[in-house]
Amino acid sequence: MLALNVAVLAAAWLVWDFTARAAHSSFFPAPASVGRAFREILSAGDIQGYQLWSHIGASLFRVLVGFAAAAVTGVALGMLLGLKRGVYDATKSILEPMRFIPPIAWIPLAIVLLRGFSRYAFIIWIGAFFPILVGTMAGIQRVSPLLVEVSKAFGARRPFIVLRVVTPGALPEIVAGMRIGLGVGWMCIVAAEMIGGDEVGLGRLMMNYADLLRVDMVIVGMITIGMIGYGTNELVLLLEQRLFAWRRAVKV
Amino acid sequence: MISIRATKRFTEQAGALSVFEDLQLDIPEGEFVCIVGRSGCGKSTLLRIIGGLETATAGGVTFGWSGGRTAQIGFVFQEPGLFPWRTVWDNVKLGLEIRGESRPSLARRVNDMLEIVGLRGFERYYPYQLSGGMAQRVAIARAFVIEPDLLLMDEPFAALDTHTRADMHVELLRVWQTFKKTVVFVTHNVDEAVFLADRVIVLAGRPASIRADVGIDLPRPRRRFGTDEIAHQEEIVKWLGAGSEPLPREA
Repeated sequence: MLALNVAVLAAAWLVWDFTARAAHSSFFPAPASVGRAFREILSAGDIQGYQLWSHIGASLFRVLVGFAAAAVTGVALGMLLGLKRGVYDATKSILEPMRFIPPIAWIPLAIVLLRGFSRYAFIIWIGAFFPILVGTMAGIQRVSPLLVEVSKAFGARRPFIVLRVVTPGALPEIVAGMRIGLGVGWMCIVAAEMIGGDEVGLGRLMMNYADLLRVDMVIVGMITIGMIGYGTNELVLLLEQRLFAWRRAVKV
Repeated sequence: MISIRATKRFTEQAGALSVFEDLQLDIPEGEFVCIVGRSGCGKSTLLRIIGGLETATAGGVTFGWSGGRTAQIGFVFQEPGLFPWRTVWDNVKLGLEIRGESRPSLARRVNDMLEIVGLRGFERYYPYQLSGGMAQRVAIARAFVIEPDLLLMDEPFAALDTHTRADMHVELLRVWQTFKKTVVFVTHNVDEAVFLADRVIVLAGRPASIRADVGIDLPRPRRRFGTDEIAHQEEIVKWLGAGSEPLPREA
């Protein structure tokens, strides 16, 4: 499978290279010039002297803070709405439409209402919150009623059922929601950094170079964001496999 | 002694349905009782009322145990209902955990119980790694480990193949004879009932009523196709058919 991936990567490289040559435009850099831009930022830093690592670090920190807030609020509200259908039914008319508002659409409000770090955190929180909320609610709904029944038959009371039956039963969906939420949060980083004042951050790096029409460096930022997203997703998948070994893998 | 005097009516949108009206049944301590009936006759509802999972519309169940204790009830359902994220060991301890048993005593009981049902060596297995028969043995161990005064079984072997089912009958009787607790076992399978029970209650009609109360006074181990056994089976089958109305009657 590794060999196949290397082959596909090589093929993509060739297609890209060919297209870039055919386009013959300084705004469509070939892979080789993107490689040079990579070396440039790794050795000399960007136009303001910041290293790629400090951009990555700043972005990761913002995403993790926003994600952590989304995890806490998403799981808490998801549990409430999943366990109390009445609360969900009563708040459905506001929750469901809100879910479909893209995080980027919140930017004007965030600019008016928030300052500094909270702007970043808010945009990422908005992106990560709904996948986690929906995952938690779906997880609770999928807990087998038979297990609740069994627990009641053995004399279990509500706290036991919530903590020892519903929560572990819903956990795979909760963690899957978190994995998706983390991905969406990470995807929101460029949007979030558009409105933050700081000069570090992958999104900010890309925008600075976009202003200079340095598309090669913008692509460096794109590839970095993609690879970090891929890496964290794989890490969480690995964690899921270890945590939920009891779940028989579904093979189609 | 368990005394049942119960009426159950469902009030769904489709109209009220009377499951049974003033059904009366007494079960002495230590008896193995099978409740036999066609599917939908209300036998599971009766069991759930005895177990407190449903409440009777009128009347109810009174437990008169020697010593006046409150009854511990063990339940085995048609599906094993094991917690998929718990190992066999952790599944068996469920009831003890819920009632707050102390650790050393819990561990001893669980280990003893696993020994009795022949699941030593499988402690760390997860439910998905077990066969249907093994999973149901775990469910039985989980029910017996709390040393229930009353064991309620709702078609526990219906999903198993014939051979596994036959093995489980022998196994269940062996465990039951070790503890001699009251068992109420619901099934639609007549030969299963005759093989297991001290007494077979035939439930039929709608609303359901007790059509027959057949004592099975045969020595154990019983035979599957013995003449006496077959005679009892035929009697029960006759009662199952007699007077059963084909159409549900609305109350």
